Amino acid sequence: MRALRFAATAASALVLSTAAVPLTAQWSAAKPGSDNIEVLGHTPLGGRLTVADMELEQELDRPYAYVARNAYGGLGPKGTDIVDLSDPEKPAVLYEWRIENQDLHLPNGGMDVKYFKLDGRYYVVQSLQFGQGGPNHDLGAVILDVTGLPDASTVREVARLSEPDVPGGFHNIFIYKHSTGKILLFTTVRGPYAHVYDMGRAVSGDVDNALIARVPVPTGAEGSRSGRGYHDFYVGYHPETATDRFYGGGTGGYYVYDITDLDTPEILVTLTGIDGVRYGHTFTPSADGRYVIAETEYRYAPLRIFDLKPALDGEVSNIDEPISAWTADWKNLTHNHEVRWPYVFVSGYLDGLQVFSLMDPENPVTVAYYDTYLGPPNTDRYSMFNGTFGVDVRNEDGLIVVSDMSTGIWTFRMEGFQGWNGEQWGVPDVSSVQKWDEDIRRPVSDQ
Amino acid sequence: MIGLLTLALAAVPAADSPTCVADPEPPTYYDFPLVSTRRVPGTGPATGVGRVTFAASPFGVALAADGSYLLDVWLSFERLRLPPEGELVVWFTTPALDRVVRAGTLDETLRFSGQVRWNKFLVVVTLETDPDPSAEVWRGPIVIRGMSRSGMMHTMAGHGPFEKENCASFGY
Repeated sequence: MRALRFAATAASALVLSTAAVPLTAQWSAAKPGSDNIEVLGHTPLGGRLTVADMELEQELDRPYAYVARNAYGGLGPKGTDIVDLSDPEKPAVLYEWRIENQDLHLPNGGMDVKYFKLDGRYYVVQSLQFGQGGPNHDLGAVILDVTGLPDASTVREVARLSEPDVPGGFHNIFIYKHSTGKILLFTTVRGPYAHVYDMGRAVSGDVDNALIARVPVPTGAEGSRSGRGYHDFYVGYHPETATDRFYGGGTGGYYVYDITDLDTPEILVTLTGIDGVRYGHTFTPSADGRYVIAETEYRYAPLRIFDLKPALDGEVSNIDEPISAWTADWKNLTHNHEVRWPYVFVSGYLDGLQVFSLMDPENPVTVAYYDTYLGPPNTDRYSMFNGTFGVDVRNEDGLIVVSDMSTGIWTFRMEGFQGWNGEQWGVPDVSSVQKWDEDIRRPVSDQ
Repeated sequence: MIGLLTLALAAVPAADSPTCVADPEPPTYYDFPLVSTRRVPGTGPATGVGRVTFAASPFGVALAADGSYLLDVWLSFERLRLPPEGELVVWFTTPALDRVVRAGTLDETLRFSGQVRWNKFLVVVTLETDPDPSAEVWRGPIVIRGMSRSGMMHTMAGHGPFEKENCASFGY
């Protein structure tokens, strides 16, 4: 019965977008990309299935990308590659951080990676997951001081975050400058909540007290995976209400919390009971917080677009129907995404980099693509898990970078996209990019 | 009580005392694979197997002085080319790597036998160019690794009881 429901859901979601999206892929080995995408550079990083997520620093004078490395295919390094993009046409590995005795650590290794700036210094957080039976099964992340780049000899490890009570590491992380001014790390854990760490405490040596809050999964939510309450999240400031908002995907669907007061997260919207969604994955809002792009991690699943307005206006508390959906190729699966309204930059696994527009949220339109992986689906692991894993965008100049599980790191330009500032599009200048050096945000009326 | 026990022991001739001898052919599910890290030239195709059984004991289960299990371990390899320089040294370590024991070296037939005193343990074979029998931990590259069968048993903390996924193969 459930299978029937899933099938019906996937079909209905696809029907929503049928008018806007081609039903089969347009990319091929001979022509992997659309005409408006320029490949600037490509550097293979190693063997098949050894690359995970990536993060791009935003300041033009710090042209560095951080790429998580793991052994999803059984073999591979476990750590982080620091890539110099000072010449985007020639991405060059500057430094490789690896867990000690990596051969004895069970897969996977590095998963997600983020950076932050605090008191004039730059740090990278590498999330880690190691299987039981080997060392560091409870290690969730390592924090590196990378202030001295490009001098790789200055990179040093400053802290490790371990959680023995919820072993299994951090599958995903998100970094956010809270309206209190604190730099916060949100992490998945194998429990019914997300952890929130104060990075100021972590890098100053007070790791034991760095865990300062938890964002719960609402009571009664069903449909867990691997014991994780959340799989993924985004945290962003909502200028209209002057609140900090947490957008989490996981058990039972998706949730939006007001986390202005970290001690008492307040649920704002639930998205549960959605046909075909038992467990949410990546969940990212538009810059104004009205629309959300929601992923589920199974083959044939499109990205679903939801309008939160009825819930934010208090008309309903739960939303269970998308207003539209988008897929690169209905036979495949798309993965992470970065929203630069109206564009959504997608790392589409077997379909490579994809960009679609939500100018009309009810009719998403593919605007660009480049397939970085022309190989076959997996036969040894889940079939869809290969190809483009992570994507990021540099707001200052529009540089697009993706990490591919098997082919390495790629840099792109999209014609007509020379950077992003939300105000140019009539929306708040809010994205995953944090403004480390700006004062605490205030309501417009106070400025 | 002690007196009765003394009498009972005295009544049994030493030559007839029962000694539990380990099964020379332990069940195959005691075996565990030894795999190459592919980091050292000539060792990439290597495969191996570790065999474990309880050490001989008059009490059935052999214990070390600290009360932990005492296990006999045999290691054997195929397609492992001995390096021109250095020795292949066998180490036993706990899964957390907080305790390490230098167990010995592989012989010319690519075999090793010894004892380990942990229930869960890792086998680590390293290439040591400057072998030091008193070394407390390896310095050379890891050539081979293996995990005792019991290492696959683990806590269910943070792990759903009915999950179908292998814990060591997280999905995305």
